[in-house]
Amino acid sequence: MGCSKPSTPKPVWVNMADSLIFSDAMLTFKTVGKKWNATIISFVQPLPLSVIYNDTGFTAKPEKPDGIIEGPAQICLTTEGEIFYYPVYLINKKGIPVIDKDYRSPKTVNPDSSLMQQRMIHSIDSFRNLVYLSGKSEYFFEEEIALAPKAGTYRAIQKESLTSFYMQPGSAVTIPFNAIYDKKQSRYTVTAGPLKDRYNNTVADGTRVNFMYSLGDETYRTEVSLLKGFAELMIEADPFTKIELQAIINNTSSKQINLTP
Amino acid sequence: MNKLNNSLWDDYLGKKLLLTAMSLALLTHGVILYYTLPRTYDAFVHMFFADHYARFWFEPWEYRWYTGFLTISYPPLVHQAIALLSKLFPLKVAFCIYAITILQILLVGVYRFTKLFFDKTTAGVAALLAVVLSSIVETLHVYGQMPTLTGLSFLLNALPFLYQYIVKRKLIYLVMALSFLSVVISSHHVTAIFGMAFFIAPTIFMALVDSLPEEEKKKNIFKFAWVLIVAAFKKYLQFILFGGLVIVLAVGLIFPYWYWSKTDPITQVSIPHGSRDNFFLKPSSGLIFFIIPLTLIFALLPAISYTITRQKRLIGWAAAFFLCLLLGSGGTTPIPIKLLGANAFNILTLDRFGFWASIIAIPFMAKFIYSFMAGTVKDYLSQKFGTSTHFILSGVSGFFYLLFILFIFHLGTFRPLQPKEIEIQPMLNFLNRDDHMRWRFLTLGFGDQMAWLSSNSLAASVDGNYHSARRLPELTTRPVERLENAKFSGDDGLASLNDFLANSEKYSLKYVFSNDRYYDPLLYYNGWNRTIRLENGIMVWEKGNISTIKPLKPKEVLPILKKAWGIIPVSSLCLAVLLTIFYLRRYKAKDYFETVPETNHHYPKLVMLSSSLLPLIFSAGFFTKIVFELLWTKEQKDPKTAVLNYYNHLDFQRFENAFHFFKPTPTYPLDQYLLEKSVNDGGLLPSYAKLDSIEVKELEVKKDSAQMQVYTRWRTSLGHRERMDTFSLVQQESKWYILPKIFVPEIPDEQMRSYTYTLFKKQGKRVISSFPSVKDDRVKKPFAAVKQAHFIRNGNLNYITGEILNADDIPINVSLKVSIRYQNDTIKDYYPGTAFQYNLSPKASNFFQVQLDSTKLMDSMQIKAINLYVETDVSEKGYIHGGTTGYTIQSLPNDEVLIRTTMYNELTSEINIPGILIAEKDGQGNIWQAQLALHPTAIRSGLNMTFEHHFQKIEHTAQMLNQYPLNLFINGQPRTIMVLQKDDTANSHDGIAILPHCFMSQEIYLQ
Repeated sequence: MGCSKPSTPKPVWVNMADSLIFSDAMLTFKTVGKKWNATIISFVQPLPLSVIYNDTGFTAKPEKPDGIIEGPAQICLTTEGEIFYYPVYLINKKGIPVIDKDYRSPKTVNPDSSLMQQRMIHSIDSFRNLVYLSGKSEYFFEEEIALAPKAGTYRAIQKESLTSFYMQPGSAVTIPFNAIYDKKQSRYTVTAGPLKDRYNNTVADGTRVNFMYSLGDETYRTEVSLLKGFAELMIEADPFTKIELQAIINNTSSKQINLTP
Repeated sequence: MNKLNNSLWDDYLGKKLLLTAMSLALLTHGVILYYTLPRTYDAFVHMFFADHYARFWFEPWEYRWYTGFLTISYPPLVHQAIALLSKLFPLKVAFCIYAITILQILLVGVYRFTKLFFDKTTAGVAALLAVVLSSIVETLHVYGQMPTLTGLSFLLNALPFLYQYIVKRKLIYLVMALSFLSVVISSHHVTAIFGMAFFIAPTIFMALVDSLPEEEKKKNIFKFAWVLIVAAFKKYLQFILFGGLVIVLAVGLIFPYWYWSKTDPITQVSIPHGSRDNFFLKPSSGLIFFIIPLTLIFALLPAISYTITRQKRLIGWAAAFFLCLLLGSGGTTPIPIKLLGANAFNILTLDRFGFWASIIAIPFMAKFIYSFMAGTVKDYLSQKFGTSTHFILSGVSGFFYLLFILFIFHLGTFRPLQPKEIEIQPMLNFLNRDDHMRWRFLTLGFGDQMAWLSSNSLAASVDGNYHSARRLPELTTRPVERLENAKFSGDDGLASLNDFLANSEKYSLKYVFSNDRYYDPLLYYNGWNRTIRLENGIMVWEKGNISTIKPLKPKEVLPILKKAWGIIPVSSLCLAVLLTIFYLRRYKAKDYFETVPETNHHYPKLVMLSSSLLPLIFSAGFFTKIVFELLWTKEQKDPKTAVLNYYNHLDFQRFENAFHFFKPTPTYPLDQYLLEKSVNDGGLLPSYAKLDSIEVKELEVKKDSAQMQVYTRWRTSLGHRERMDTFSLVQQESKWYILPKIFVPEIPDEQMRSYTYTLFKKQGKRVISSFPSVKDDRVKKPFAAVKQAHFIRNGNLNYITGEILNADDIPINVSLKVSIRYQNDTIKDYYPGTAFQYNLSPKASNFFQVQLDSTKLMDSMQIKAINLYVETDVSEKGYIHGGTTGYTIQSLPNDEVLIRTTMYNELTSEINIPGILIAEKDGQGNIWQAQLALHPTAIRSGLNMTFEHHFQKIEHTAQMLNQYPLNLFINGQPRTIMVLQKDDTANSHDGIAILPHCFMSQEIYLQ
């Protein structure tokens, strides 16, 4: 018993407070001894403090006075194997820039099925703390919105490419179709288009247009990719053979036309 | 004193020769080994195992091959030793250092082994001979069989100790013999097992005979046998001690191996090996596995046979030698299969027996060579024919034999056993980036270099290069060594490969590195797309919608066995080294002047003459044959030979050689031939096929002209194709030449072509982060719909047929899986094969057919439910399937139709394999079957081609089974099948609907 070391009295936190602005923190402790380490242990990480001794004890301040993730924490003082804790709530300085997040689901909307989209908004500051939405006392806002049926690429938040959502064109409703005979070259130029969906959007590039035509006993199938709403096909004319021609996209068919020079 | 002098001189000369042999080995084998290594059969496999131990010393589960296997399936010592060296040197260098070290130990072993029979000078000559012995050269530089050489080198070193132990009964010799045998057991179990019969038993026999008094040895054979049995009984304690300890070591040292072979026995179909062929019927196998390794043995057979049968002490060796020689002859006679039994015969590679025969023969060959160079044979030849004759004979024989050895050194170059060396770094970079290692890969056309790729990567392959460890039924049920060289395994190989390529989801197989375009059609029609050609020329194929590797529980091995596997075998090597040092310092000096067995230096005249001349005759004959084949073979001696050789050159793409078979004329130069060939050729047959068989029929043969009909059968990755051609030949200056066919070019009207493609580009990751997924960066699963799906039964065949639609605005890659749940709650998955288009344009649809099991099997298991799973993914390519396709249908009897297809290629790329996907529909539009039909020749841009296919309709014989519920899931969500619509076009064509489904090899951005 006689050899045991006398325990160090718990330092007195002179400027004690319930909450602490971390970047401005200047913690004054009244104690004895010159071998103190100070750390703030938040619920996500340890934040080291530097210690400056004075006549009555020491002052601790953040080594990197920066923003943090706000929440409960403990000031932890250690000296020669002894540890003392002081509960505190860490906050950031006011005026930190706020970033809005706008999530859309689905990101790609096809008017053939639905124009509805779910939207969820929330805001975080630059240190990833969830903050109230502007002008509201809630963190999240959710709504279902009906999108305008105009095909294109939209951004939920301006200048942020990753927040883009996409309104696709739908399927062609009808297939306008005509053929022009070029006497000099003795061939038909068959054009399907302009192909529009039911909202008057131009049907997507690359859409497969199948031109089916009969030439004598044979039935031909030419697969053409749509470009800017049009699909074009050249057919050699045969003065003695009638050509029956039709354009088909999935289950939508054009009228059948007969080509004779 | 005189004897001591002789002994000293003999010892000095013997050791000098041994040192010369070791230096020579270092200078020749050591220098060349690094370069011959990539062309060997096995070196890379052993390096892969070494890499395993370097990474996971105490973990026997190797996940990188065959979806996982246990490395305790092969004795570990060689691999562990190389693994240790690889901690200091690069793996290849470590392997070479190890190989050279083993070669040096082997030479010492040969020297010590020969000393059991003859004096030390002869032993030195034997060591020199071993440096240039064709069987050893072949085993090292052609096969790269390091465990065999390791086992043998330590076995040969163990034999003198064993001999001494039997003769002198000293414990140190037993300890030394056992320590060397421990290394043999830990290195190569086959050498250990057969070494007992072919090396240890004759040694014991010889030691027993040598321990008999001289008068006993001279008794007749029956009395001798009785005396020997009595002598053996007198030493029974020695034998029990040795035999018991050997058994304990054999079991204990590699116990996990025995445990594995007992608990997980090899139950796979035997893989054909050339060493089991009848060498008369397949001379190429005989050449590689029998003639080349044993040339010198055959040449010196009279001398070997004479010496090995002259003394009673050598009876065991004579039996072992001739038995090994017989077993090494493979399937040439029925004796090996009867001796070994069908099971062992079909598992073992029999060339190893020939190899052991050559090793047993070394002392006897060395004795004759020594005698030929400086002994009684030399004296006889010099007296009989003069010194110069002997000198010339020695020089010329030696020269030709060394040429022969040089030929074997470079055998891999003259007769390539492996593809050219492939730079693996681009593949490693590919596997390392973008999480590609989360899927399995497969190599095609890599040869054993696939093992080298695996050694350098942690990525997993479905294939592997150690077939004893395979347990996947798709591999074990067919006689296929590896998937990567499937084309060399005939129909079974391609069927096996097809299973993996079609059912790739089952194995998380997403990437194929292809070094052989032969497989391109098979890959393409199984839904694989070319992604990128790497800097080393390797094409990377990718399949969409493949799940990442699922965690697989390794086979359990007791922790104590893992530790034993990691510690005991390598300890045996350490112990052998320590004991050798101990022996050399403590005991060796005492045996320094050991007397060598007295041998007779006499050879009968016939033996002397034959064995002196045969090496020259064999070596020179071999070279004459090679030179004759290269320079003087009359390839155009008659019309049939000319046509056969013409096809041979074509098959190996030696077009300039093939051109020389055409009649020389100024109007038909090589340029013209190549030009016409480039215009006419292309397509499945010329470009993606290998000649399988050829038959030439003489239609008309006159004095100077001939008409030949040629039937050829080609093996392609999509099955066999046959062709009939007719050639006119003329004779000119005693050579037969083919007359070039009149070339009528098909020329498109336009001089320049244009075509508008709509290409797509997936932007890829837009957040540069190694974090696997960023929500905002994800591309949605494209929409797809199933227009119809039916369960069709046609006799014993069952399949799901239907039609699928890309309902999205972007091109998609589709994967299909039919899962059938049976009454006993087992689930079996089935995938579409070639009757499906895996990539679709926006709003395009296509037919599919998924083959199920046989009616008998499905009925016995009783179907509970059928689920059809469709997964989609964004695709950039593969949605252009061919040109304008016209067709007519002609009805034939018995529900058969003839489909006549005219395809016009309006694209800017050649259509290499024109094809159509055919669907048979009924009046309501239900699909009864879907089939792929291909045409073997290409269509050039701007041209038409017409081809025909017979098609058997099944609507009237098959059934559409609607009693089983068919549930549809698209991208994980339950969906309903669309309302069926009639197909007027099909209805007006006897119920036949077709879609173009072609392969274009050039512009990979299209497919």
